[in-house]
Amino acid sequence: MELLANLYQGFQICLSPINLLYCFVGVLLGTVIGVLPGIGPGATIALLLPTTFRVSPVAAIIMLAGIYYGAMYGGSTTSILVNIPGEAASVVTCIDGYKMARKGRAGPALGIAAFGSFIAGTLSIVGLMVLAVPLSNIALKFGFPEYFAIMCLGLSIVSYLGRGSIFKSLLMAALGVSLSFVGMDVVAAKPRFDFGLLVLGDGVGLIPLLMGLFGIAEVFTNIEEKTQAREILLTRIKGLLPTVRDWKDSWGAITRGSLLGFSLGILPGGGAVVSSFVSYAVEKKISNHPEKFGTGVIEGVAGPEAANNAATGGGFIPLFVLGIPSNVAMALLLGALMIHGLQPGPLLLQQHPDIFWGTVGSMYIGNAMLLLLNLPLIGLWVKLLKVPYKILFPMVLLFCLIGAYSENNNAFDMLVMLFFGLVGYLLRKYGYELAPLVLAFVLGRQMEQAFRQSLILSDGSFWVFFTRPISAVAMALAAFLLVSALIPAFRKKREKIEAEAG
Amino acid sequence: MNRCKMMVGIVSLFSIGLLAGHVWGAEAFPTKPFELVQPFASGGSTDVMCRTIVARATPFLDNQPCVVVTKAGGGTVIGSKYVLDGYHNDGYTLFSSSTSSLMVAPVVNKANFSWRDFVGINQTMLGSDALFVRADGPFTGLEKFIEYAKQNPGKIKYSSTGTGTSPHLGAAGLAAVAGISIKQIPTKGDAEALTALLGGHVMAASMNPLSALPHVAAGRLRCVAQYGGERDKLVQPNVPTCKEQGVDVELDLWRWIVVPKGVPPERVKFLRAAFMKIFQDKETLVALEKIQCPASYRPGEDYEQVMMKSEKAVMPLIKAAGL
Amino acid sequence: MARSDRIFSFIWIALGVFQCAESCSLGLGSFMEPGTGFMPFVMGLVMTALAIALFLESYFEMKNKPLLKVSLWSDVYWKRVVYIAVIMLAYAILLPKLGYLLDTFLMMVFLLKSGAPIKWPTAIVVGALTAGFSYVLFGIWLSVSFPRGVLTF
Repeated sequence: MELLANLYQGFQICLSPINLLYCFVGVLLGTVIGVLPGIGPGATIALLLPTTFRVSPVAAIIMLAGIYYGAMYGGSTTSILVNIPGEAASVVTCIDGYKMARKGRAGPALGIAAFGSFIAGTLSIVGLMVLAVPLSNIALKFGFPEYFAIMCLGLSIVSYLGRGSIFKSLLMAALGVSLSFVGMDVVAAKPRFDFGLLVLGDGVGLIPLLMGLFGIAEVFTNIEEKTQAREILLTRIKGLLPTVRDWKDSWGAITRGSLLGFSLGILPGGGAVVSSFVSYAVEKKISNHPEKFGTGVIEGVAGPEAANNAATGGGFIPLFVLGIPSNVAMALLLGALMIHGLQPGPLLLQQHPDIFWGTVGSMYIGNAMLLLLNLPLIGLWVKLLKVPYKILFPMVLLFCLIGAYSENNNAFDMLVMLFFGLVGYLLRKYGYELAPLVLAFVLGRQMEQAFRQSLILSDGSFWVFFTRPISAVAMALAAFLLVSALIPAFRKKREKIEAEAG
Repeated sequence: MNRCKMMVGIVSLFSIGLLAGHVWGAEAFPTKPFELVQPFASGGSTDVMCRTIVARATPFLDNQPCVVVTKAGGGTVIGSKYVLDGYHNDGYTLFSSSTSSLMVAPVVNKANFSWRDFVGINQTMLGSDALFVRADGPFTGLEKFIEYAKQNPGKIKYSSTGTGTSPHLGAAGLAAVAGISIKQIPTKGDAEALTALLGGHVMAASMNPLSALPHVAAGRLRCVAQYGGERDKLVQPNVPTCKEQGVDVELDLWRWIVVPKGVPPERVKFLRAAFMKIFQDKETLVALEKIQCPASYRPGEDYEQVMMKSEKAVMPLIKAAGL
Repeated sequence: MARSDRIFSFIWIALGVFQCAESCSLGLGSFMEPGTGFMPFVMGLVMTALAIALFLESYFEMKNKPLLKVSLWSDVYWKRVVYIAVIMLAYAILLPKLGYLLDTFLMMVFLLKSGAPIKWPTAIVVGALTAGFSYVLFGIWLSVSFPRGVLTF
């Protein structure tokens, strides 16, 4: 009952006109940024931080938080429409979402993404409300070996992402991890693989890599086609909203995605990217038509979109309860709170419950606002698809270029993006899946760091990964997934050899 | 007559033109926003301090805003190298340096620069990093900590952000002077170090007190010692220093705003004057106190003196710690 | 596809071996204290192993299926891709010199002309509008700091 009383108080706070206004501004900005490829919520939050100094802390957090989860809504739009992810967490949505758009079903795809995000967002806020404190204690149990094991598990998921040879997917993963090593080794402060170029000292940026592999490569792949098949397909737009059948197919994916996203979002350092990949793999594994994944099945959109939105809700838990940010955007929110003289941590809930509950209340409202904002826009976005590609593609390229540039105000990032654009174009031509590369790249450095930290902790013993309960389970699961994916590949080869001999 | 007038006219126009050219030709400063680079993870104590300082700085910088840029990694070396790369010495790029980035990191991480490659604008704070342990653990004070370590060499693992940072040196120096063997697990940022300690994965954490204090207040953590020469009166007045507890370690944590060598002297002068006013601004000082930052202003002219004194204290500690 | 897989697997093997070699020079460290090159070395090994597996897989594929002589390059406008890549390269290099507005305008015009046929007036108008609008959206509203270029206006 105390919970409801607190929530009521929270709503009272966030329903004041000023706070409502800040909520709206935040989610609107967040959506715009999410749609624009390359520019992420982190940069925007950093930019707007100074403007929040003169405002009450509640309003500041409401707006900044709104930008963060708003960006998750917007990110799926470009993934579905033009196969270009708004950020890394929307990469998986490209796989089936874009295929749906090509079949004329962009509307339902966008619709289920919006609805799924809303449901997942709401569920994760409920989770935040009810389970914040007990879950944060569980999150603390994850030490260095556990993180490494979870990341191994995340990587092993890769074996389920592709439709072709599993070795190709794994190769992409290995390449992704190796690419993440370029730059300065954080632990020893030594430069690695930078070929003497000072600019590579910071490593390969995620944004240029993502924009290049998906944005630029996508344009290249389209522009070389002689028959403008794309034009023909998109003129047949079938309906703007998900059908009853779509809902029937998706509700399971949405529920599972929400749970997955929320759980993974709690782990500091975990998050939206990994949960979207895991959700896709789970849906594919338990579906009764796994071979259809990749051709445009709605579960492949509903699940990951639910997961990445639920992860944002989960991500707030370590911040509010422990004062520990799980990613850059959270870290900036932490900074904002501190600048207002509020130290997030165990005492914040006791001494300033209005901040927590006001924010929680605003998240409900923000999610509702986002749904109302995004649904009518679907019609607009679908119309955008009708713009002739010969006019659209230069704009797409320009937006990607700006997105790559804007992170460091460095034109070199554009060159990196172009390089990966060509690489992505070639890889696609020869049948390689690019999603594993992205996941591996995101996980690579963290995985290496966790590995080294674990070995220092265990004084060099590898058993540390297998003797601690959580990490043992995760490692076993990872091994199981990998092996069970590889076995069919080997069996096929054996059959071929036997067929030949006989 | 006409030709005379014409000559006078031409000469005057010429002189006015020259004068105007001289006045407008001298490039105005500043004409674009500043950036304050900080080399630690977002949301950490340095990041928050920088944001607090720049929040009210615009009117003092001729109405040019100053934006905080995070360049973390390599134990602050990535940030330092960015500022020193030769493209950032026009006076628009400032660097929030500290004992870590100017004294410890260049030596420990074998980077080929030193504090001499920078010019000081002003000191921003003077405080101390500290060593934290769990409140429910056996270490009620530094003495017990050292005792346990002596009996179990190499068993204590502590987390601290980065390699070659001031908290790292603090703990390593403490270990060297006290004659014990403890191992560092480097983390990316204070938050990660804190999490490891809260979760019981490490037995101690060496870090800037800012993130840890709420947990100390909530009774989960305990601070056994701070590394500075004197107790930090604002942040942790009740925690004894290492020296007070019989371990001769003196590692002050100071932060200075600096610019790379090569910035034109008039610009340095402008910046020093501007920041002096910023640190006299009541609102800024109150805000800094609110974020538990022990502000302590010193003018840029004191830079060399402060650096040399710090070097004298820090270098032997680095050697002793074997880094 | 199988033949290209075989060729590609050689590339991957080469990459993997190169990575292992570079990692060795970075220092492998020991199990107790893994060095800078440790994980990259492991990854290099993994890459090489996977490449060999890929080679074997495609080898057996080829033996069983008749060789489909479908070239990936015959029926496509791959020259457009090269052209566009060069334009974008020029854009990135010239950006500090020409400034955002001019550089973007020029690039847009060239890009528009590189795709399906477009009339010059259309290209110029669309290019100018895009350059201007994007400048307002990104440069002013979102405060991305673009280079002014030599010809500042």
